[in-house]
Amino acid sequence: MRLFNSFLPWLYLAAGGYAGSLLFFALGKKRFSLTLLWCGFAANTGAILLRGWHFGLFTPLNMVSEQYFLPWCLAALTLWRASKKRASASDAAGVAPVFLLILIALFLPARTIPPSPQSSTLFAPLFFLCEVMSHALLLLGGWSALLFLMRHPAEESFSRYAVWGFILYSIAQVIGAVWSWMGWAVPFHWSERHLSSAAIWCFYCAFLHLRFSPRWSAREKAWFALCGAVLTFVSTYGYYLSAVVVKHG
Amino acid sequence: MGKSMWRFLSSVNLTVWLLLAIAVNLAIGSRYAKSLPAVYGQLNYLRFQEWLTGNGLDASWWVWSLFLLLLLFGANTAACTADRLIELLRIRRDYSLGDFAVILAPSVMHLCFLVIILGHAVSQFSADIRRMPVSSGAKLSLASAEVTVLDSRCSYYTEAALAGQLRECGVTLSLSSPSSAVTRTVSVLHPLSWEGYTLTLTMAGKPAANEAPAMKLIVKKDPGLPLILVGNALLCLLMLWYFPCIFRTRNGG
Repeated sequence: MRLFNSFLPWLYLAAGGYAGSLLFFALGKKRFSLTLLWCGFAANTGAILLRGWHFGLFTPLNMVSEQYFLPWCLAALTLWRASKKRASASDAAGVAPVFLLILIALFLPARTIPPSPQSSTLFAPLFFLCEVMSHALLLLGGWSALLFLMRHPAEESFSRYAVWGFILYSIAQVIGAVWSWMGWAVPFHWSERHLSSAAIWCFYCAFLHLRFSPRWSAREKAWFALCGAVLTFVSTYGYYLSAVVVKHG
Repeated sequence: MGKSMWRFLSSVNLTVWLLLAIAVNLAIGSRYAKSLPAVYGQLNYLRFQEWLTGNGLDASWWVWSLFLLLLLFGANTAACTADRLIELLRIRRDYSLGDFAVILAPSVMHLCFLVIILGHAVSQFSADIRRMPVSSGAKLSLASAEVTVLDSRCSYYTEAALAGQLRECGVTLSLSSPSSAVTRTVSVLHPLSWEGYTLTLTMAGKPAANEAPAMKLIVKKDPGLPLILVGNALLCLLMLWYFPCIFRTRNGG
């Protein structure tokens, strides 16, 4: 428990960094915004590393918990976008979803999971690593699509994020299938988790095919990417959010 | 009439709408699976036709519609891929080998997808699956072989923060067939291949500290599995190669 408690201050620091970054971005101070984003990212990294050592031995599965690793991935992507030579003003805008996700992490904490025989394979953390990274790309794609719809033509890159998100998501599904086969003798479970993952995969597969049909305009594709991001968000956090709704009647 | 039917069947717009319909169907299915996990969990270890005998249309309607949509989507993918391959073969001399490989890749990816779907269909309709609880002396008779559980054991963590947590579980099995009789060990996440069967040790639920979990041995002959795994692996490798090539080309590289 002592280690878990030492992980929380790092999370608060990360949230503070991201909040400050968002504030300075809103004020148009890009340099301050980026500096604080770096600070938040470093604190988020510290929190993730501490979770990995929570039990006194290295449990990589705890490092890739969606609540903490997803904002980290999004922050990394935003920093990468904003640090490019030809970065546009809206490239650092990704800090807004980063802040939203770290807020969710503060209010809906994920418990650390002790190692178990069914997760003691490299395929388990590798699956979550790829899946969470793909979620980050799909959410960033949706965010860029929203900016594009709000008349930021430079944000036409939403399609590229969605494509890379789809590729990583596909790899995650394959790794997950191997893990599932090793542990449960089936590469696909008829369960809520696997069915909703398949639904997201099919949705983005449809998105990929829009390119080959002239009847879909750029705006319609942007709406598609935005809906996909909402679907991904609901699928990712739906369980936690419904638990909160049930708890508060 | 035939031509317009073919055009409709191989159109990309049909692909988009079918994929969206499948996504909605799967999302509905996930709600059903959430509310009735025991009912749909049986589909993991029963053939579809066996599962149907215990479950009526009220539980199975979305599985039927999913199969129908996947069948239509398979036909659409096959028709679209066939169209594209014929066109590519016609113009193959206009491209260098490398460039031709790049433009051929999406068609190969679609073929991989068809192989994956076929693998899942073969698994769901024809896999031979047996389950047995793990207890010393338990026997499972197969077509021309027998599996006997000799003993089972579990080990636990001793580190302070994890004291009593399960570390590993395994069983020792006696496997006999007309051609051989051997003793083998199977542990969680380390399935064993023997005489065309895969033997997998699974745990049912999470036990309390220092308690041995209830375990089951799944003995499965699944002809669809190689299709699923090879198809998926090839599909991912092709995507990792194809999309960077395409993005580079679009960037003028």
